[in-house]
Amino acid sequence: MAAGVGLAGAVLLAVVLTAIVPGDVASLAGAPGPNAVDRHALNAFGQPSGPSAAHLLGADRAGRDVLSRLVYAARIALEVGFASAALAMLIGAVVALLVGLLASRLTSRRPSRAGHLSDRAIAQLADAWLAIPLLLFGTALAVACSHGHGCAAGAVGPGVPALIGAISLTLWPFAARRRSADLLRTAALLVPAAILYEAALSFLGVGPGPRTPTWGGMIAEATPGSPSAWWSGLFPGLALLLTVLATAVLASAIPGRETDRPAQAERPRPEARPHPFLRFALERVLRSIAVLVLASLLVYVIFRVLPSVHGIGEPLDVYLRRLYLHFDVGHDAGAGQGITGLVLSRAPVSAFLLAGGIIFWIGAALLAGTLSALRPRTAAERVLTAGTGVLAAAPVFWLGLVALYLFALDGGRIHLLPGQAAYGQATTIAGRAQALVLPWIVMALGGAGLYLRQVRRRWQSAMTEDYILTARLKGLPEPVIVFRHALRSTASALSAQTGRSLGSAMIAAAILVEPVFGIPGVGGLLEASIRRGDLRVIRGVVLFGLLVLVVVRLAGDLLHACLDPRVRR
Amino acid sequence: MSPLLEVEDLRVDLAERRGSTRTVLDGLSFSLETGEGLALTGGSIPARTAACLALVGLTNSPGGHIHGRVAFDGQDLLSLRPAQLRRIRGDQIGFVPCPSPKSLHPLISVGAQVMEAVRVHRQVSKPAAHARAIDLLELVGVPAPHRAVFALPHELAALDQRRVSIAIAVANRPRLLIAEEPVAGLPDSDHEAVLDLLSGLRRRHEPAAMLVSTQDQPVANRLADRVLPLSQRA
Repeated sequence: MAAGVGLAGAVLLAVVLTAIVPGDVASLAGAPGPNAVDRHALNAFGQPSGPSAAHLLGADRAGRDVLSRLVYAARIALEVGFASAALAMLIGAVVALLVGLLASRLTSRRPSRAGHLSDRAIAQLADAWLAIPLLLFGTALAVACSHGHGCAAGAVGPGVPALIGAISLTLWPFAARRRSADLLRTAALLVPAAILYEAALSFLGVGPGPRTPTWGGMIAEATPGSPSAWWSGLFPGLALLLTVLATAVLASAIPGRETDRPAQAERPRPEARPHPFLRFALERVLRSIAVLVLASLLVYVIFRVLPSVHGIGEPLDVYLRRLYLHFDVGHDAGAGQGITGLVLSRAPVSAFLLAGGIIFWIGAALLAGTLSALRPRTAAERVLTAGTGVLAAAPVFWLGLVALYLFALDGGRIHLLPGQAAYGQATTIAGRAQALVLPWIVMALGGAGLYLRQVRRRWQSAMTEDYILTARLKGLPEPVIVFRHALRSTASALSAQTGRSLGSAMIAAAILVEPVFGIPGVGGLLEASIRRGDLRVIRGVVLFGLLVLVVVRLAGDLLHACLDPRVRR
Repeated sequence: MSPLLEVEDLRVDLAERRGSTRTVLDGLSFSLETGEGLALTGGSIPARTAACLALVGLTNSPGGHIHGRVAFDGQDLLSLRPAQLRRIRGDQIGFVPCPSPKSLHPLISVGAQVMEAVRVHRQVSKPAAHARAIDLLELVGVPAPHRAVFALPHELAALDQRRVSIAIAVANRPRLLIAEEPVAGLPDSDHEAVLDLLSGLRRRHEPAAMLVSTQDQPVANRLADRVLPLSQRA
């Protein structure tokens, strides 16, 4: 552990030094400026040259030096990462203060309840926040800020301040919900999240601007076409992975109280209600509708109020009437069709990708989590835990790119699975499913680490329950105890959590994976509209993502009700 | 004739954090004849729990170690293979575990949990096991057993949940019943019902011998012929 922390510190120090004096570091390595084009680095067919003495890490498609851009991008990543974390903490603190004041007003007769009330209010807020697809929300914020920034029409480049604002406005509830004892640790844990977030936004095209190199942007530039110039995509991702890992390891080394809270005490419901399941379902549906309406208002405000968005701010009543009565979110001048139709025509592909991704993701995490909970401290368990932890720190779009370099039929090292653009060429459902296998695996690998920890914790807590001892005392064989008694509570607890806490991450993964593999879904549409600066389509995609997430969460809740008879009856 | 249960120099070490161990019970020796009732009193609750569980080869946390000799019907339990020990547990030796709100599985019906205890040791068809479960619930005094078999534990009163635990323990007419803190956690008004049930079961020789761990002298007096105090040091 101590060695790991030391290593992480060294890596972070190197990145910080690089970020402070990028020009010096780059020139030390003999690299030109980040935007200097070297025509000799491109051959007669316009193919960039690989790592060589002139360009240590090779040149990108435009003939620019990869190492130099990598070094300059470090500054953006750290600036955005640390500033966003700090700003998110500030916003979180202000909100927590206001909520606390309000709570103490409301409970002036019983002051001891104030803390409890404000804790609950903030927890509810953070939970409601997870009902919003955070990546889409951040994209909307960054895009809405961008046009006031004096960029040329069409090109989206919100600039660093807008990025920091968008990221901190998305992440603040996670800063507010911890108590003051863990302030430093919480802030430090937000840094890797913000760095990954910045990379994802830059990858989608809402980065600091076309002339400023970012790791995410470099991966995006390396993505289209045949995966031949592997160096231009591999190295930015490695730099990102190392930085995220280093900040995450350092953050978790900061002593804090155990963040794992004990599972909420399950309250038995003794009185038999007439139709509790229906009641439960109805309550969930109403709550989902409320979230939907509130979040769509938020989207309206983002696109209407934030700096000078031209031509998209219709009056609120028109917006609401169109959205909820006609499912109409505007007309796309470029494509000459309604945006609702445009998004819906892309939806089946994305739904297919998302559904398969969720199955692969949950399957992988269940297997790995079960193994690591039931066979703790074995070699396989250690490799698995460390491996998924590293993969969770890697951006999913970069994993996709690496998978293409390694396994794609067209141009991979090992010709294993259909790669880029295979989906567009496939005509049968089986062919399309085959084209999606690689994206599904990538989604599962990238997300398994997140979920694995939850699965393992559930298994571990289930295996130490008193009813497991009862089962042993009955003389039941161990497999029956594990797969009948423990699995039952594990599955039930997980189903409640899956939709709630992971829906947002799953949707983000699907959106980010689509452009990499050339899958013509909603994520691809979003990326293309960002590049065109088409705000109406972006808004339509954000609203659509909102609807999908609300439905996913609702499905998770209802599944939980079916698995847990205490809710059902 | 050798006694039903003979315990010599029992010691239990529980695993602590970072590989160290802690001895919760040391030097316990006693014997129990068929038909006899014995109460373990004194000591700490963890020590009494460790003593009871060690008799069936279990410890309350993983990685614990049991030393000494536990002879049941002349057979050394601690030297048996896990599968052999498992066949004795719940069949020859019934066990009412330390009371807790979760000693019954919260998501499995009461009937299924009782049936499971029967079917793991006896080749019984499902309908027969179901009928046996209803009989058992009736025996321990759960009201409306025909409906209670389908209930989930939280739908029963605390007293009835305790009765179900007892029903599971005596499901296979064990020769020895071990009951840990039988009345702990129940309101005083319910103590009498549990004591009546256990002493009634003993009088009818359902379990031929009974070992009770308790801190209450009245409970010990009601259920046991003999009291064995654990030394405070152990």
